[in-house]
Amino acid sequence: MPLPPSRKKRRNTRLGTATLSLTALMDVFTIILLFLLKSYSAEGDILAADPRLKLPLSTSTEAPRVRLLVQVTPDDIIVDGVRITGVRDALSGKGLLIKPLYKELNAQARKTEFIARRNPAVRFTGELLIQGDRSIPFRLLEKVMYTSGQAGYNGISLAVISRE
Amino acid sequence: MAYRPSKKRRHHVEGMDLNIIPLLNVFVIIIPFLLLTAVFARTAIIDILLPGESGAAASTSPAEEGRFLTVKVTGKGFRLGGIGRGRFIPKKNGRLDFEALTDRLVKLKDRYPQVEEVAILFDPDVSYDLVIKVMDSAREAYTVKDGKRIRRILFPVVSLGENR
Repeated sequence: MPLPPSRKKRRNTRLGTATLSLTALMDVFTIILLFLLKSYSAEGDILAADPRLKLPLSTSTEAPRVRLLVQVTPDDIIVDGVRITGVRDALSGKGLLIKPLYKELNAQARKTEFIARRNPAVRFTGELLIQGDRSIPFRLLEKVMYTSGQAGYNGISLAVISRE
Repeated sequence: MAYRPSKKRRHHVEGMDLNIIPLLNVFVIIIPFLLLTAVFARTAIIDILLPGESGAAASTSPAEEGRFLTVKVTGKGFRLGGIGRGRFIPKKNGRLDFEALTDRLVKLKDRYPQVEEVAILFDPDVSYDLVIKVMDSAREAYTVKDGKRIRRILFPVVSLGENR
């Protein structure tokens, strides 16, 4: 009567035919892939995160639109990527108007109006987006808003980071 | 005499197992790429009404009284005015009492559902972060009911001004 195969031998034979089961790993990958694809926005960020400033947090969920961008970092005021004036100069000036900013915004408004005259697809809406650092004082924000209003930009939006 | 099964046939049967290794390779490449480009901090915007030009804030003539709500943020607390009877919400433990403010604003909205505008007045040296925080609590309130967070729009048309 032949003896049954020993345990060791049986295990050996099983190992020989076993393949690595990748199904579970594939499931995980598929779920991660779907999640990431869902959160992937193809249009990209209209607002590039600027390392010089930290935006405040807010509960707002309104999506940003393309507009003239005014950045107020702790040190500089930047319009459309060009540094206009320093924050210290802006704060020390008398009254609410920041002169260099006013000049720049006026030029921008004139430029847009000029383009709008030739190209009906472009309209001057007077919309402006302020990206301000969370530490700037209200006085500075007020000055920037006042100056924008004087230059013809009345639709002002504030950029924030959504908590949602 | 039975024929031997053809080679082609046997091959087909043996190749039944799907080879998922290449798919795995693709996943391993795509997932790090998507993780790198994923945007987890979503930017949003808050539209504000420019004071002065649109005549909402700044002017506190008696005729305009009662058309909009005012919230004064001072070093001692919030002072509500405009619609309803004015009320002062003092600081609690040295911090501004946002919960009491939300409670009060929800009650005001119940009583004056047609009012949409709020003018918020700040001291010149408060930080932008606080400005956004007060604006958030004036714009919308979140209440928890049956374990669900319910969003309620309070006074979405915000204008900013300075304490004089």
